[in-house]
Amino acid sequence: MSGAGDMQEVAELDRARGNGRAAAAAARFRSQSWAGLLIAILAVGAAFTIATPYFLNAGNFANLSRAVGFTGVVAAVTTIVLISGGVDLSIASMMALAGVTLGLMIEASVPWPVALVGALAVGAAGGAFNGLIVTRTGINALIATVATGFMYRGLAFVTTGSFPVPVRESAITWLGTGSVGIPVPAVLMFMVFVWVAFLLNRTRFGLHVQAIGGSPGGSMARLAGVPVIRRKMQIYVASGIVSALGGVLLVGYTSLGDPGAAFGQELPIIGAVIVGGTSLGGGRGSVFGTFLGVVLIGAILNGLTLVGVSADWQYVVQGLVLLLAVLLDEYRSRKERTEAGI
Amino acid sequence: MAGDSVDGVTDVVAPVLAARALTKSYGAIHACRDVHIELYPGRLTALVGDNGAGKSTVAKIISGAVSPDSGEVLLGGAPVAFADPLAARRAGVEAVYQDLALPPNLDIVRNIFLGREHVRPLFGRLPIPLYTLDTKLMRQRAQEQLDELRIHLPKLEGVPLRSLSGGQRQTVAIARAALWSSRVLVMDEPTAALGVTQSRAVLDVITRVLARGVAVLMISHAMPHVLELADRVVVMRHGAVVANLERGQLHSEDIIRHIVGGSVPL
Repeated sequence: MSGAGDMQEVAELDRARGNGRAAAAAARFRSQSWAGLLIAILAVGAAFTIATPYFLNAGNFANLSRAVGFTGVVAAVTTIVLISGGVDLSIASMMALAGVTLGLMIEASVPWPVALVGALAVGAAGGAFNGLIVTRTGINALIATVATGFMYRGLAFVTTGSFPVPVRESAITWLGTGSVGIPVPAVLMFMVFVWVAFLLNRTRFGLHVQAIGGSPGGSMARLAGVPVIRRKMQIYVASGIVSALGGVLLVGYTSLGDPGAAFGQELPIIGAVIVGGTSLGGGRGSVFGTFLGVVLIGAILNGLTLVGVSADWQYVVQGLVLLLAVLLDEYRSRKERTEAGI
Repeated sequence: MAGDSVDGVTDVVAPVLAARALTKSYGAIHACRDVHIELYPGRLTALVGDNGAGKSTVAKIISGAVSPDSGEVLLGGAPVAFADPLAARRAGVEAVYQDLALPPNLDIVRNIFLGREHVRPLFGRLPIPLYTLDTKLMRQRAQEQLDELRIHLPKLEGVPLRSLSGGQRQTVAIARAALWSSRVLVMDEPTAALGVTQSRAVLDVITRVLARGVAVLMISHAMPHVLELADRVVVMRHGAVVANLERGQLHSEDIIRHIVGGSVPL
């Protein structure tokens, strides 16, 4: 009896030591995935700098930061959605619908601040609708938001008769093209990233998001007293509002409320988040990683354009990057499962 | 039955929790029938029986995870119907189930305070309603409480629970329940997956929880642990209570005879 007990104890000590190693290895791996991203960004930057004289200059950096700004804000909040174990595939359609809303309101001589709030309100309403479906019906978030995405895109076409609405309001144009030394969309993106990082790491909301994503269906979080349904509603509303903000910035850049805007951009956005180390299955992720992911993918697309690779081929490259990101995510998740002994 | 057998101690002290005539069926199977159990402050009641005797069902009813077909649970003399474990927790009834219920991606401090976090205003005294997690206070309080219960765990912050051993995770689950239980602590096989040292540590924690005046219901197959801690042993067989033994009457052979049905010569 005591012999068996001793053996158990020894086994446990061994396990404890093994777990110390596993924890250290996990920490190393996490820092490496950041380091890996930084190295990838530098490598891509170096390659394009050699390939074309147009890559490494201030003008192109302004372009690049502007281009990633629109999708970057959406990627930041998508990090929260994915960590909670959810997904929102209606983000790109919502960008278009919010942009169209802004355009139509300004066309109807509504003062621009009111139109801006109106566009963000449409985002909030769409997000709330997503949240209601996900929390009340139990329909898989992936399917639910693909469906609502079609609806939002359709509404954008219906309300405009499929024609882009010209927007010549200097305040809105400034949001998309202005500069305060740094392009305004980049500044806004930076602010959204800081805000999301704060939410995720320093608030009760962020802790709940992580707890919900860390257990299947948020069951453990619910048992611990986390208001899971309320949190999920907040997550999808935030996703809707920030998607609308991305849409507004895009309108400012193109001077058009275009119902076809950001078409097909939801997967590249989610891809950038996953490249940044956030898990497609929930429970793990980092806002800083998403920032690096956004910069990496933005730099690749920007560089490819500069060296004259056609937009058609860029789709192929985006697909490859997405595939690579998901493979990497699968690898990380398997590592975690091994660590947990599941 | 259980409610009728009153001794000197229970005469004076009212039960903090009393289950009356609990019955629960799953289809044709009676998980438990007419079960009476009383839990007293600072006392440990052990619930023993063979596999499938209905112990876990009783524990789950008491902690709000399962609702009974009939019968009632009285907390502090008033009938309660917990809609879910969260409602039970809010009433001071904590439970540790066999299947751990802690998100593996959070560290120890965050797991212990999940759902009951401390926050502080982000901008100090400025009247801006933004709040941030008070991780410093939570870490301090967790450390204090763990020290008081003499629970030793590795790094409380920054290491996700999944990186800990099964025994350590179990200890965290028990620590969490022990810290928050103000009236009743229900534990289903708290030492089942643990080695000798860790079992010892868990039993010590239970002793300290009892000393705080919390009523404990412990399901266990480990007879030495039951004999060491129990003030009362309730034996279940085929969903019914077949024996309700006081501290003075506790003998391993008796208990086992009740568990198997008295027909086995020992």
